[in-house]
Amino acid sequence: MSEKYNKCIMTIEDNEIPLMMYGNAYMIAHMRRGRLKGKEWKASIFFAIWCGCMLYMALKHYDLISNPVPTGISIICLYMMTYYLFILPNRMKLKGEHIYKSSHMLNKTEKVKITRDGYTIENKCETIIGYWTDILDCIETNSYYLMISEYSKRLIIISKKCLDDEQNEKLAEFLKKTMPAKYRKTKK
Amino acid sequence: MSEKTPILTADYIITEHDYIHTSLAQRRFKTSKSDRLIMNILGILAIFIGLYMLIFSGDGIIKIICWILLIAMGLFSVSFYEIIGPSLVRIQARNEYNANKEKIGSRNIAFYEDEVKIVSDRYIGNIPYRYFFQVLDDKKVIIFYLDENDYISIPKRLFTDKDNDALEKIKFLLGKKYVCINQRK
Repeated sequence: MSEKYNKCIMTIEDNEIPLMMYGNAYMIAHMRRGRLKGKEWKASIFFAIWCGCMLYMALKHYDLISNPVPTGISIICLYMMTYYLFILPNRMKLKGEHIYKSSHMLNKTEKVKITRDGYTIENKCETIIGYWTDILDCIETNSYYLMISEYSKRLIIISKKCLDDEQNEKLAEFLKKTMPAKYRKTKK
Repeated sequence: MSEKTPILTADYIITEHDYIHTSLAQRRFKTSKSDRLIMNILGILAIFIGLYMLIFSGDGIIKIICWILLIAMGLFSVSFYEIIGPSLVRIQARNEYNANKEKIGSRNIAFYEDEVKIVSDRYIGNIPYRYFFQVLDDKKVIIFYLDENDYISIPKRLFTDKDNDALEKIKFLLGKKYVCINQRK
C-alpha cells in the first residue's frame, strides 16, 4: 500500500541553487509569510497619508516653513513608502544571500524525488523528507519553484534550469493539482 | 566492514523547557555586553534625573507626569535585558512550541571523529564538523547552526559527568566555531 504513495513520480537530478536565486526566493518567501507580507498595502497607507499632507499643504499654498508638522509627516511617509517598497525587499534579499553564504549545504547539488505524498531532497550530506501537507505556499517563478514548509526553516527550491520542457510542464501540473489552494505563479 | 564508533550519542525529544532555553540562549548570544551596559547606564541616568527633578522641581501636574514617565523609561531600560526581554522570549517560545509540538519528533545524534550523524523522522544528515556555521554552548543547551537560520539544539540534560571528556573532544574538533555564550566578550 505504501509503495503506491511513495512511488516516484519524478526525479530531478542536479538541482543547483545559485546565490542570487536563493536571495530572491528568500525575499519572495517573506513576501508571502513574513515581514514583507502586504508591503503594498502598508506602502499605500503611507501614500494616502502623504496625499493628505500634500492636499493640506496645497490649500496652504505650499508654505513649508509655517507648516512644519505636515511637512515632517509627508517626509516620514515618503521614507516609509520607500522602505516598504524598496529598502526592506532589498534587505531581505541580502539576508537570504547572507544565509546562503553561511551554509555549506545550500550550494550543494541536490537530487529531488517527487512522490504522490511528498518529496525527498538528497545532497552529499543530507536527506530531507517532506510531505505536501507541510507546504504552506508553493510559488512558481520564471526560473524556479519555491515551496515554504511549515516543518523546516529551509526553503525548498527547484530550479527550472535542471528541468526540460516536458518535466517542467509535468511538475507545474502536478503541484497545481496537489496544492490547488497554495499554488501561485509570479513573474518575479 | 568495520563500523565507526561514535564519541558520543544522544537520543532525545525537545521539550518545552528545552525550546525555551534554546530561544533564550539565542537571544543572549545576539545581545552584546556593551549593549546591556549602555542600556543600564542610560536607564540609571534617567531614573536619577527623573527623581532629582521630581523632588526639586516637580511643581505642576504636567511636569510631575513627565518626570514620572522619565523614571518609568529608566526602569524599563534597566530591566529590559534582564527581566522584560527574557520574559517576552519565554512567552513567544512557549507559544511557538505549543503551536508546533505535534511536529517535533525524536532525534538521534551521534558524534564521530569526522562528522555528526543526525537522524530524525524527516532528516538524515552526515555533517562534517567544518560544515557547521557555528556552535553555541549555553548553560542548558548546545545549539548547532547549519547556517545562520537553521539549527539543531541538544539539551545538556542528556549528558552526565562521564560525557565531559567526549564533549571536550567535540569542542576541540569544532575549533573556533564552538562559542561559549558566557565566556564571550
